Amino acid sequence: MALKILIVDDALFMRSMLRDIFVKAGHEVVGEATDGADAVEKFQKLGPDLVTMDIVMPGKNGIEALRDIMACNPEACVVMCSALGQDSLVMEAVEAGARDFIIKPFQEKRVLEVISRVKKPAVAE
Amino acid sequence: MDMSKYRDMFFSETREHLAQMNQLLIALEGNPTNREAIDALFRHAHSIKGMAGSMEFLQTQELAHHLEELIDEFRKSGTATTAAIDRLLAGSDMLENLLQDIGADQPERDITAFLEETCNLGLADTASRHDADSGLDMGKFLQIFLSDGREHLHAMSQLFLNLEENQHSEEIIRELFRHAHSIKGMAASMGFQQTADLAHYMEDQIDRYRQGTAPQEGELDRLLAGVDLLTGLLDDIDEGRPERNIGPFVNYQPQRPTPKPAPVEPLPDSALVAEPAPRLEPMAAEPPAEEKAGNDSDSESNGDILDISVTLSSEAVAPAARTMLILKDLGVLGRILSSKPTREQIATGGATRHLDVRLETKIAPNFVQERLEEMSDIAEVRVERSQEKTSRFMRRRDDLQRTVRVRTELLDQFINLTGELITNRNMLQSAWKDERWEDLQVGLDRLYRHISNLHHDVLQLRMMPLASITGPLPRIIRDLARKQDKTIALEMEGTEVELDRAILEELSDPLMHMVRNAVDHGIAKAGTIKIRAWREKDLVLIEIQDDGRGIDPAALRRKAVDKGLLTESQARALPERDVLQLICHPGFSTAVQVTELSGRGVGMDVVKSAVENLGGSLVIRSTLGQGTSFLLKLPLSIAIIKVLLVECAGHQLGIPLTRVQRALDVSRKDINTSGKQLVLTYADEILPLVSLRKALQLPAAAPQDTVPVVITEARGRRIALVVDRLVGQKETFVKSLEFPINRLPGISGATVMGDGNIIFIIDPPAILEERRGQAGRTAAGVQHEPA
Repeated sequence: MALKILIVDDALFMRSMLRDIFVKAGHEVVGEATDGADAVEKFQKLGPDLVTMDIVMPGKNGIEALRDIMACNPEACVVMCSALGQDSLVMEAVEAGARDFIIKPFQEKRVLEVISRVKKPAVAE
Repeated sequence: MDMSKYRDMFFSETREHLAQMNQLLIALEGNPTNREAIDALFRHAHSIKGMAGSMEFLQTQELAHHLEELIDEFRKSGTATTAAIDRLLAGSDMLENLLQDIGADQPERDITAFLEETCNLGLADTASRHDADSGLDMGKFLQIFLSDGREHLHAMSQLFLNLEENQHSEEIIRELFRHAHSIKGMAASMGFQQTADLAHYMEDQIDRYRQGTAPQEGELDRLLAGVDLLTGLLDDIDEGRPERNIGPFVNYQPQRPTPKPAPVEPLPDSALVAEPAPRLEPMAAEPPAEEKAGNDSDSESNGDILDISVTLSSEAVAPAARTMLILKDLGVLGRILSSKPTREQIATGGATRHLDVRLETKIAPNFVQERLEEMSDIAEVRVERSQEKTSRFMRRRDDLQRTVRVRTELLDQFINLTGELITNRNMLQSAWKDERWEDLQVGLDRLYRHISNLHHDVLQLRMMPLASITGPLPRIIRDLARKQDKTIALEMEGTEVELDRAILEELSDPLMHMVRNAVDHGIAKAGTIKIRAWREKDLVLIEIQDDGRGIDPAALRRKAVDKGLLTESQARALPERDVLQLICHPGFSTAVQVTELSGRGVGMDVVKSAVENLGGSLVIRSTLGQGTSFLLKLPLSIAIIKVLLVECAGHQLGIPLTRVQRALDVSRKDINTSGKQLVLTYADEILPLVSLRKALQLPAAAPQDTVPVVITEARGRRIALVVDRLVGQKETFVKSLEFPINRLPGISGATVMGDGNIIFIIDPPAILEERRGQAGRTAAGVQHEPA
């Protein structure tokens, strides 16, 4: 199903890559943000189905932004993007409520798998 | 009790105490070490506390208690500090304020701020100081907290049910309030915030009833759900998990009156009892966020237990985070009972590529498997149903084991006995030293008596009332009946009868099962279930009776034939008593009872074997159209039993008396043959003769003129077990056996005689069962007459 996605990363390069991956797969990129504060603001304004969030960013980092977003909406679906070697940060993010994580450099197939998995409806009991 | 007439007395006395306290405090300022003044001060605070408690002025009581503690500090240290005196004076003012609130018929003001302020001032009571250094203390208190908490919850459950019948009972409402209040207090002092908050919430709701609002439709259901949630919270605490979030429960606003459950045809057992009733559906509609999932509905166990094993691929990145994600995901699918590594270990530890989880869930195993396999970096997933039973009564079992409520008189008896034993020992020592043999003898006789008493008293410790396992029944029956749209009344009698705890543990599930049967199959639309317990000599009898449909013996006979268990003629010949026992035959019932209460495949066969393992027996009686009764006969204690000693090929063996219907010497004249089988005619019955020697694979004996037999039940019928000699009866303490001896079928324990000999205790049905496999054309163990 087509998702509304908010991409958060301070690097234009990364944002473009993700955008292309998503658009090609039929999703809609409703916005892009370049730092944590921007991310939270755009999240509230645009109400996306899913957020991809870079961890290390100037100003407010991805984990703080994640926390703020989860506080607004505990059902928020945020996927962290991380470079190799940032395991403890990823763990911190997972504990703070991130639904999954993807590692840079991005592999298209991997990215799409993760996206579709986290947006599967919660178990119907 | 009408407390209003004590009101005036309460006010005047409390004010007296307060006046005295003020004077004493001022005196102490001048003379801080005045012991008498400190003691008197304490007494005044204590008295106020007591009166306030009886009148149920809880804030006043709590404040008085707080002041009492502050004063206790003086008693311990010997001197009254100025700061503390100030505080006490302030406390005394606060008490006066509370009195004014009460006098004006207003609710007592909240004293929490006052208490906190005392802590902030560093006058904190010793309790908080203990917290800092006692990991150990808290551990001890934890057990007490859990078992007390659970007791309160049981009581509340029952009280809510009573309240349903009797909505205006002030007494019930007051008791409910007290229980909630206690739980709140304990939880708060242990630092369990969610539990304390929820208890506080319940307290508020109950307080509305105290003020006179009548309970609305559906409110009591909700409060019962609150009790369930509290039970779940206690379970979380017990298992070392973080407390589940009470937010959804507390914030839930009922939008419409709760609809009655639609009448349902026999529920498939997969539609678990613990499914949320309509009142809870709105909660389940929220997509469960991670830790909230195990929260909705019930504290009754939820479906099956799965053993899950996940291995990450070797290239997995951030494996710890991945493992944490898996754990969280599983937490959404059900309730995590245990995991290796644990959540803390994953959060703090190094990389781990393997995760084992035990999960309680209603969701099918292959669904869980699929979900896990969809995740990134997974190499292998294995999901299996666990062998463990999911009964919450297993937890109750642990409760039964960890702390025991003991009557204080029993403890006094122990102290006395210890004293006597010490005296006795001294006496024996000096008699021995002085070589006064007669006195030594007297001393030994006394010792014998003391030990006997001690033994008896220790056994008493193990006794608990039946009520400890029948407690949850009213609630369970109510829920079941509502689900099936039946009206079922429950009467219980004699639940104060006491039984050995080990027996109670084992009985818990079977009891549940029989009650469930009565509800599901016994009663069609409306009826009564009666549970009665009483003692006869050294047995405890428990009867579960319903006035429902009854069991149709003809149908049972047909079924037995259909299933190939009996031939037509055997089925016809089977006496009615034995026909009813057919339902206890494994595999007899077609409905595989997957009840959430006891895991898989609990049928009457499991019930029967559980009862028999305890050394008891199960009698089933039924009249078509009138009802069915299950009667359990149980020994008082499994630790000490009476056995019949018999001799067999030079060995002495014990047979539990509960298994022995009759023991007698029969003359060879009464023995006949029926086909190839030797039979005994006894009391109009023809019983097959079975040789114990042969069953134990011992050489056959030469036949005698009189044949000692023990009439017992084996293989579903009465038989005459032939032994060499009947020795006598004995009351013995049974020692259970260890591996590998305990693997021998038919040997249920051993006992040590006075002369040091060991006597094995055999279980006739099991011993003879063993022989069945070796039966050729002749019935096993048959004794043939020499030609």
